[in-house]
Amino acid sequence: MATHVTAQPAHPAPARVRVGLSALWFGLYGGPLAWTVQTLVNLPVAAHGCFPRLEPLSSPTIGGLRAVVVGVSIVALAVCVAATAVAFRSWARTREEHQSSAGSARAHAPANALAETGEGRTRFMALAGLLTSATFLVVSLVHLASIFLVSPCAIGR
Amino acid sequence: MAAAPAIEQPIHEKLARVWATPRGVRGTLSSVDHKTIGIRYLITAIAFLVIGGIEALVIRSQLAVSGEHLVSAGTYNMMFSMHGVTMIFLYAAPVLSGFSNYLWPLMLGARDMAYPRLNALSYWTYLVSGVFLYTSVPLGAMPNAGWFDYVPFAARAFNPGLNIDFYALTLLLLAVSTTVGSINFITTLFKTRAPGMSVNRLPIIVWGTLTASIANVFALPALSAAAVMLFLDRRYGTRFYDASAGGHPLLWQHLFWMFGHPWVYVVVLPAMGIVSDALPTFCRRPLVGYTLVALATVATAMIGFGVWLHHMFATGIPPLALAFFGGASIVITIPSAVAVFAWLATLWDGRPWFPAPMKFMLGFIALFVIGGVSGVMTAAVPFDWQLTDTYFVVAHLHYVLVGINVFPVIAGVYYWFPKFTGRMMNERLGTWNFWMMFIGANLVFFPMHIVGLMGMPRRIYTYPGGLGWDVYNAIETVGAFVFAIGVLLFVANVMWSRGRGNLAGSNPWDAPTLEWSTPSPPPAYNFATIPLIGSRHPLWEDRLQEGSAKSVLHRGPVLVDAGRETFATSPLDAEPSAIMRMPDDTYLPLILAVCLGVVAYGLLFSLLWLAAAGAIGVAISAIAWLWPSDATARLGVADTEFGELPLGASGRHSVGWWGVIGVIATEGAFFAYLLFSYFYLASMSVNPWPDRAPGFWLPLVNTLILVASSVAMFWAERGARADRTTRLRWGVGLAVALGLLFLVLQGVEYSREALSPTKTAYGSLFYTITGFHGAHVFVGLIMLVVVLVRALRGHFAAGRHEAVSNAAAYWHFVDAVWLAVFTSLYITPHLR
Repeated sequence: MATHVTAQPAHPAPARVRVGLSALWFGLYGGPLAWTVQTLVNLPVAAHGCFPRLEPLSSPTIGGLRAVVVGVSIVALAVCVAATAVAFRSWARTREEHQSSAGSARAHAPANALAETGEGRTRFMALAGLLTSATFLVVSLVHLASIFLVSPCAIGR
Repeated sequence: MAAAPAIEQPIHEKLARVWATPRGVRGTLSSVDHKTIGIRYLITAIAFLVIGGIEALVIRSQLAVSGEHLVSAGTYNMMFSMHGVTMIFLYAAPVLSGFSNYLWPLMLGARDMAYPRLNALSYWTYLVSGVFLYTSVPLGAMPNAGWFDYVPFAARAFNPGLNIDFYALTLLLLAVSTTVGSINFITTLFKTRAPGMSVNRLPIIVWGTLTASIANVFALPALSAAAVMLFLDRRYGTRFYDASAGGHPLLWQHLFWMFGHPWVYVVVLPAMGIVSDALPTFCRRPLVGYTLVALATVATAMIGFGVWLHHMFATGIPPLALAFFGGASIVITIPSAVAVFAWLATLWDGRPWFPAPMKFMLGFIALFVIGGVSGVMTAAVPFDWQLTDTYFVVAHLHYVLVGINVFPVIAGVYYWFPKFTGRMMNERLGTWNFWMMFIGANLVFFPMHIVGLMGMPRRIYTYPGGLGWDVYNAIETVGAFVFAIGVLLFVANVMWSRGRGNLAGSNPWDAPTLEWSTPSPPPAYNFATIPLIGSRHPLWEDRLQEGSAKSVLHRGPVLVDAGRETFATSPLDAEPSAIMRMPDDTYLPLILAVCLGVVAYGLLFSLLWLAAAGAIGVAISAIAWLWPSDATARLGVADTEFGELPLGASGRHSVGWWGVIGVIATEGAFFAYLLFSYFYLASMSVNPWPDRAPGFWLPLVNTLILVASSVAMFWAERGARADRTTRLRWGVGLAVALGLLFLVLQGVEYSREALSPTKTAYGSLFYTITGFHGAHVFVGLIMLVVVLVRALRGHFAAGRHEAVSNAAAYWHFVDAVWLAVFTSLYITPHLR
């Protein structure tokens, strides 16, 4: 193979050994998956409970409908909180990651460059997970709040 | 950035020879060059923008004054339906594919997309679908039920012509195009980036297109399932949407919007990426909050999957269920706002200058905010009830689609035109172009908010005077023509600048990203040496000092020894893992796309022989496509500066594996939507569901047979890994035999089954789901037979068994789907 001799850049993720990939992926996708399940379970329960076939009802057919959707939401919230915690731990372990620690080339990556430039792949994924989990924690909380704010079957009841 | 180029001229010449597309008709029809395909996408999509725009002008002329009868009500229905279908499906998404096809390999430091032939297939199928749809014009049978085509109006009883059949088949063709394109983007991103380009160094447009592609993989099957069921209802008498037979019209709405809302993000996220990448160039500073914007892009699409019901707020669904989706629809503004504030902060903190592309980007931000705010308003359920089916919604969706798609697209063309052609676009014409489009857009769409609030319904072809709507409609029509003049100025600028624009050089805007390191236009091979990436702004490294590593742009590896080659790299950190041999130019994508079109025409005109001929053509083309060439079958390793790398790869290191996983994901989603339909209709049925449960024991035996075949294939694949050829042959042969037995027994089951596919929705679902699964078994069997033939010819070895692994993965998937089907269709009826 023809090549030109090259000085290879340093590895883009020098802190990758500090955090396992499964922790990074859980931080990224734990929240979205929990909310997805929360929505996909609670939607048919809430819809079918109040509008089982042809006629809308004034009260749900499913006994303890609210308990079911609240229970599912609490589980989803717990997963979102866990994902946030895992993502935070990953971020805390890698927040200083930038290429100055790669041992190759000059060190002039600003330590605060994470949000701005994303430099440091491991901490980039960790921060992305932290923000994703936090976002879906909010989405899941809004979902839960609506259970207490809205009457399941009819307006104003 | 690295020092000056030092590569010898003979290497350039050799690369040019290897990667060049032949001239003339042969090259035109066989090219797999991503740049050629990207430009074709752009030109074709913008042509459809013009066609859809002409339809809009007819609509606006009809509505200019009250009581107008320029066109009939029927023609008006076809006009607004064609306008919607053309703009949404044939313009908005494909034009972004054009940018991404052209730019991705240049931005990622690769020599082509991961699957160049699939790229060509994606374009040709898109073109065939567009031609197919517009065949309806001379036949006077254009789609006429709007772009979301609600049943029961779209059912045959109320719409007996070919109109809706054109719609359904066009969408199925487009689904093929978009799905293969999406899988190509995903694999390209994860497998062909330049060494060092870790995921935190990607341009935002790459994040946008990646997110859109993943959304496509999971969302498009909903539309495909809906379109298949609609076509079967209309042409073969099934009852999916027939409430009198256990079907339900709302099933269409659920499936359509499960696709439709993610699709909104498909047509805006890459466009937002264009702005996120181009705007910093004109602010002379990096994008503020790169990590936040990248993440906001992904988060928007994720939440976008969970808001489909906000299109159905007025369908009688109970309040709590609506509240779940209203809440999510409001929260989705958070990631969108992150991007807006990042752009504003970049402007605030930068030193902006305002050439034509920048003007369009600023116009985009203004329109985005207006469209976003009206979107939040409709997320509130009570407010939405007041606005549903009024012109307010038309105003909102046009601010979103014109603002967040058309304006960034025009900005993107102005920005990258120098790269496409080597010439700058005319700046003065660009300024006129911008103001005409910006003023026109606001004139045509803003008054729609007001008439909507005044109660003007959408989709009426005329209206009586005296309601206070006249003046607003007149202004809208004037605005539409002003906007159209703006589009014409754009087209004129492109035509003029292509031949007479100022010469651009490689980086006329002083931009930071990798594509600007190549000549304008780039050579066929993109990069003479594969770049090694050390930061997110390879061309601004000297001034930014944002990383300790330096990119190496002109002294990296060459890869020129054996035909078209590029590196396969690892998904996260882009570490080289293999050397990939890329395919040469070929007619196969064109032939396959034409054959798909033949199938569609055969189905449209009920010429089953024609459809069968097309299907045979598809099968032959696919087998020829998959048959290995001598070059791709070669074994060995190459000594590179990254150590010894294999020539080609198997398993997760291979691009083929990623493609198969993409197919599995999208087909798995297709079956998930079919099973959703099953349980949705079961939950809505007022009659016993099913009225008679299907047989159990024969399907149980069949289940065991299919599981056994999966075990045999697993055993065979492990044999291939261990270089045990005899075991491989026996295992694959046994899997084939068991698969065939499954199909035979399914035929026996069908012959005994008293259910009818046309009497009840249950029967329709039973035969459709098991039939589609049977078709997948058949396709899997063809793959296994090809593998068996190749195994008998000694094509595989311990390090060279990619086809075996891929076929095994697909076969296991088919078997897993059957377990879900068996549980749903054969077990759950006995649990009631």
